[in-house]
Amino acid sequence: MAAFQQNLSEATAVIDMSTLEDGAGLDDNISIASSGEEFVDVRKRETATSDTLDEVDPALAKGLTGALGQSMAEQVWKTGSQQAKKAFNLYANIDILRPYFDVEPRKVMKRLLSTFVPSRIISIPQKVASELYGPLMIVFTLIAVLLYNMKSSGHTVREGTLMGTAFFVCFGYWWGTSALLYFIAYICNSHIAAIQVLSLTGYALVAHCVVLFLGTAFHSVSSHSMFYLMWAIFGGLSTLKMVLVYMSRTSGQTQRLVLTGTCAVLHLLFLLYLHFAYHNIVEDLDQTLQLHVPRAPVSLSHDIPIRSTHPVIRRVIDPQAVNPIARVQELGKSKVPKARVERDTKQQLFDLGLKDGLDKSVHDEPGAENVNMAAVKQSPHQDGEENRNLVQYGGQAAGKPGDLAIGMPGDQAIGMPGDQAIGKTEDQTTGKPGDQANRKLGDQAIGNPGDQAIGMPGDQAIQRLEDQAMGKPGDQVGK
Amino acid sequence: MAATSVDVSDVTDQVPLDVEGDITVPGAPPEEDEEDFSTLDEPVKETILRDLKAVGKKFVHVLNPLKGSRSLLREWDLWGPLVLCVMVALLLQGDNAADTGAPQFAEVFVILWVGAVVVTLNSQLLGGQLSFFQSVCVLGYCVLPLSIALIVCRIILAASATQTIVLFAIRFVTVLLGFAWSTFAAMAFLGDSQPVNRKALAVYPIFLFYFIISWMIISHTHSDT
Repeated sequence: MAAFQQNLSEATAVIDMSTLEDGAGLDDNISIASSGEEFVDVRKRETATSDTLDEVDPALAKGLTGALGQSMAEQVWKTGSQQAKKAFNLYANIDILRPYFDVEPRKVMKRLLSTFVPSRIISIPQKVASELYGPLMIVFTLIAVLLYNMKSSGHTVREGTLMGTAFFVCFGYWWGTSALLYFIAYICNSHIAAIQVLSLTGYALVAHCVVLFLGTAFHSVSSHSMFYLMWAIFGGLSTLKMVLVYMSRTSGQTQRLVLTGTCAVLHLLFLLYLHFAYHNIVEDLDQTLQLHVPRAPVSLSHDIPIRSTHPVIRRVIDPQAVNPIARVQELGKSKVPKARVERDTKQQLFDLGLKDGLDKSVHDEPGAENVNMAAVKQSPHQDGEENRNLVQYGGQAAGKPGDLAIGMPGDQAIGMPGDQAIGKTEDQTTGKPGDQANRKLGDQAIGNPGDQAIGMPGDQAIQRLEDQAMGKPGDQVGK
Repeated sequence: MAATSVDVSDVTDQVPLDVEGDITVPGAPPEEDEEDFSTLDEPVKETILRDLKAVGKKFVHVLNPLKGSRSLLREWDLWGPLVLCVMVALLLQGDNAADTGAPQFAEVFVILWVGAVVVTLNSQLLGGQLSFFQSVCVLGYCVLPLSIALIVCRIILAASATQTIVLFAIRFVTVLLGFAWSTFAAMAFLGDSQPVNRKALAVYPIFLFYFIISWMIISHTHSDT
């Protein structure tokens, strides 16, 4: 009976067994009644405030200059500022992130070291730290290491843009890969939280930091074997750790395979990319220093300083400047009559609809892209000029074939992974007139490969180009 | 049981209060408030001179980071950091105006300010006691040694056309000194505001920030060909 009464008064579908006893039932009734009173009280309070507000409205009509108006203004200000504070606290509250920074230095060190120690237990879910301090610092360190890489690889002046690239690449990878992996983990029914994926990916970047730093500091001139070894060891260990974590938290062979495969591929390829995209210059520099036999065209141009192949820039710098590349071409490399060259490029430009802006430049620097396309090596054409021309408009269309004096070897990364030299030139040289070639170059052009010859007295630049044309990726000639 | 829990809360309540007490010296503020009320009517020259003096005093504090000096923290202002940042960004520009110009300046400027903001956020998230602008102010002022090093580097670069290894070594050592000084000064001011066991966590981003700035300085050489 008591229980039945209780159910009626409570009006819930759930029968609270503790209230089945007589004594307890009474207590619950009382508590419910009191809470009901509270509820009534609150409602009364709300109506009271609304009443006061109603009372104020007619007063508005009477005039705001009086004391009433002033007090109302004060109230509006107070409410407004309170609401603003609430909104601010809600959206800009860094306290949301505070729990993820709650670590001790020793723990961070331990986690750093344990990223290279895979745990073989996959039957039970492995413990993953959900912390953001470590990964954030690691990403910043990676950016610093990339800067070091870029600087030691070549002489660059536009540090700002390099920083932007490095920032974008590192943070983009961290967040992008984490998002992708979390998405796949979600599909594959993995028992892992987003913040854990973020943390895991971030910590695994320690391998990248270590490998890149050591790779740059101790890079051997002739081969990449040292890098590959470190790539396999450090990259492999950290990948293995991540893979085992994912495996321990996923069930089902296919799901495991998909998730771990994606993770491993992305992680290892990113390390390769970072190394080759920002590192080519060292190689080229060394190769250039070792190759003492200049090719024919080079020797003809040793007295031409390259300041800029960009038509506008060059004219700004020195209106009387002779186009260095054009001279080179004239000096004997050219087997193609200039007219034909110009015609070809004009035609290509016209196709691209770029003729207007680049009329002069096309004529003036048929060879300009010589610089740009450092990576001409890929070109199937035997004739250097054609390559140059093909690439030329491509590069120029980009707008800044060469802030030569500036030269950001590192910039290749913009828009295109390290194969810039490779991918780009392939497009160009295979004669894909190109919006594609053009656009690609355009994207890359910010700091495009052509720039690398920058800053270099002419012969070296051309020599380097020639060297590269021999089939070396990497036009990063930088210096 | 209740007594022990109250005791613990008393202790934890007192700790932040003590820290607040140290930073805000009870004697000073009322005087400043009186001044504030009357500064609207004073001639502009006085205001400017006063601000300049305050900035200069803070520069001196940075160059001699003593543990006791708290004026950097108490009366924070962003004039000094702004001046330093603009100067550094201008000096780090490339020489070739046609090629460089605005973007480069903007990049350095953005890096300095965004870096200061990020380091501040990090120290706050780690449980630091300073307010946002105080930290930004300190980090900005502590760029002073590095900017002095930058000026010295520029002088060295401008002095001789050919850069020998000796000159490079001089530049390197100067920048290294500036970097160490900046980091040490920043640590002296910001270190006490962090929980003791997390000092290293807060110091590392500061180290990285000044390291990147030093890197920009040391790698900046004249680009005229």
